[in-house]
Amino acid sequence: MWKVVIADTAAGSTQQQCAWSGVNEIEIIGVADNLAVFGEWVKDQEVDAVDIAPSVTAPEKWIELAVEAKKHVICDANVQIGIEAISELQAICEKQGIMLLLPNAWRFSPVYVQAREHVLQGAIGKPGVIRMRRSALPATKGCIFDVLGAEVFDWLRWTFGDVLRVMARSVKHMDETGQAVEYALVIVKHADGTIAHIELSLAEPEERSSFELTGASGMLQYDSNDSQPIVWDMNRKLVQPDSGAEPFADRAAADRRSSRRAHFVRAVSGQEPLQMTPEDVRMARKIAQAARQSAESGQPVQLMDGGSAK
Amino acid sequence: MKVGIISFAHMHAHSYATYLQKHPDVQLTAIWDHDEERGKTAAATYQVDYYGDLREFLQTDLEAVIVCSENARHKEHVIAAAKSKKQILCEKPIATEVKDAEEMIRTCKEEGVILQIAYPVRFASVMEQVRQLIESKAIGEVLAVNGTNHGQMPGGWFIEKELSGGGAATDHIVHVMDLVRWLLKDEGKSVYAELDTRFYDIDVEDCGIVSLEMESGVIVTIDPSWSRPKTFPTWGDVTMQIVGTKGTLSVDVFKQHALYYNDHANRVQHLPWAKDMDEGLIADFIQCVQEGRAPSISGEDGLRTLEIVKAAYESNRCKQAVIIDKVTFPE
Repeated sequence: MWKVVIADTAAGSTQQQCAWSGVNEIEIIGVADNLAVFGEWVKDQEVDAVDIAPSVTAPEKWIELAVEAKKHVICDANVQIGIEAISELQAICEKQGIMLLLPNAWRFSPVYVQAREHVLQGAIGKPGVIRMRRSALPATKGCIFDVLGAEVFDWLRWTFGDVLRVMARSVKHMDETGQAVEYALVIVKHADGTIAHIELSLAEPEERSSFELTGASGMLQYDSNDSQPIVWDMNRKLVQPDSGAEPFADRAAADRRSSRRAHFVRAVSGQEPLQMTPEDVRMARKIAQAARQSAESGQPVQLMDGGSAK
Repeated sequence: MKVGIISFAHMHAHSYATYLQKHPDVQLTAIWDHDEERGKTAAATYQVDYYGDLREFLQTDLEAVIVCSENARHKEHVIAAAKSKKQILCEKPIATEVKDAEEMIRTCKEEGVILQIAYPVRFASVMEQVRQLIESKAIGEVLAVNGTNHGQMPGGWFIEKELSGGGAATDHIVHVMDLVRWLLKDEGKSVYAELDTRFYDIDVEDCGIVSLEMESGVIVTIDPSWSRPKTFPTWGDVTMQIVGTKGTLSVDVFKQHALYYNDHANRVQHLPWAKDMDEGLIADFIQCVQEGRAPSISGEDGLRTLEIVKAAYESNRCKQAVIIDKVTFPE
């Protein structure tokens, strides 16, 4: 039986606990809502791993505590960790022999995993122009290239390899209520010649993602809006009842949270290699940083080391 | 009104011929083509006279001509037609070089003839609705446009650079660019492009992405790639995601179609049912000639989009965003 401590400072949040419910042989020891309690719990010899929720502020401090106590870490709050801190965490994890998983949800999303496998198996032939779209609600906090872009950039790098240069343009508008609408268009040129176009939107009323992967022998298309197996509309005259059912997208997101935890357990147990390293996260964030710099300068930004991992 | 067609090199000539023949005020009377077989076949199809000599063709009593020759020959044919006082509708792009477009525009002005450029998408009924929505600020102020004009690789002279001027970038940037300029009443300022040849073993680019900043600060990307697979159910697309301060418009110009699973041909096909935009383009050009008014889509409109295409090639060459160098004409 694996013993896990959860770090979650959101009052009444059960998302992290639910994410573990689908993983076998797991016992949640407790949920720490402050660093002092967390520090005590990770000293417990029986704890195997910690799970740090996105609600936690300065997650690198929590990770450091856990790693120093030789506990393996999965952390969904990687957007909040700076590029330099990721490198430092990676170094201390290597020194302590600890696994740190900062998962990209897209690497655990069935459609994105399937698309990558098809590309690698040659389904579309030599890749040409890759079109990606991702949108989230305007209220989403943080830099658009980090909060929306980094996972896309990681998936692109995972699928098409190193990145040579990035060109981005972005616009931001603050309305009279103080709500910002933000939108960015990014071009990523990969070392293998593949050209990716990424639309990032914090200007739409719903979360959405889509792709169009074109190549010399075919094309793969997907749109989350066209992939809902259940569409439930009520007669306009009736009040929409509270269905009590989870929207399908939420359920899919919960499945992804569970599947990356199951992978984490298998990786720590030596049953399979870790899906992605902190270095992958760092490289995706470097692409996001290049996009930010490009949008500011109006010129492309060359990734001098080719975007390659060490 | 008697109208002739100069060359059937571009496949759109057939659509224009069809709508000329349907127009109540027009007689399609003559076709010139340097390719005798192609010209004679077209003349027989539309039951009009074929001319192998351009000077002889232009000496007839045609009032207007439509130029559908290969891109690099537009200049020669437009200038010859202008000097014969013919009103002109020229297939896009206006030319393959900016200086050629300048000369065409100047000659048509000097000769007092209309030079209209064929950007039919403006006449799609959906685009008129989009224009009204944007003008009425339905989505607030426009911030960005994410556009595509995809196609299948056309082959033939389209992939011979000396005749076409270039590949997918030459062929497909201009439609969306014209729509952006027309909808926003704005001009391109800075262009960045990544172009490449990745789908076919050809001598021109077949894919890429073009990124623009407009003078107003609006940001735009255009995907002009010949990236539709051979199995794609139609020739391509024109789409625009127009993002405003209050909302987003998703426009798919050719969305109005039925889907046909065709076991006879072993393929899936789009069967479009919207009114053909070429009909609107032809009707507008004829009305323009009849009324002697300025063309709806001018030579300058053609020139502005060509300048962006040329800037995209330059950007792709130097891997930098380039400022668009605009030609101006004295009033």
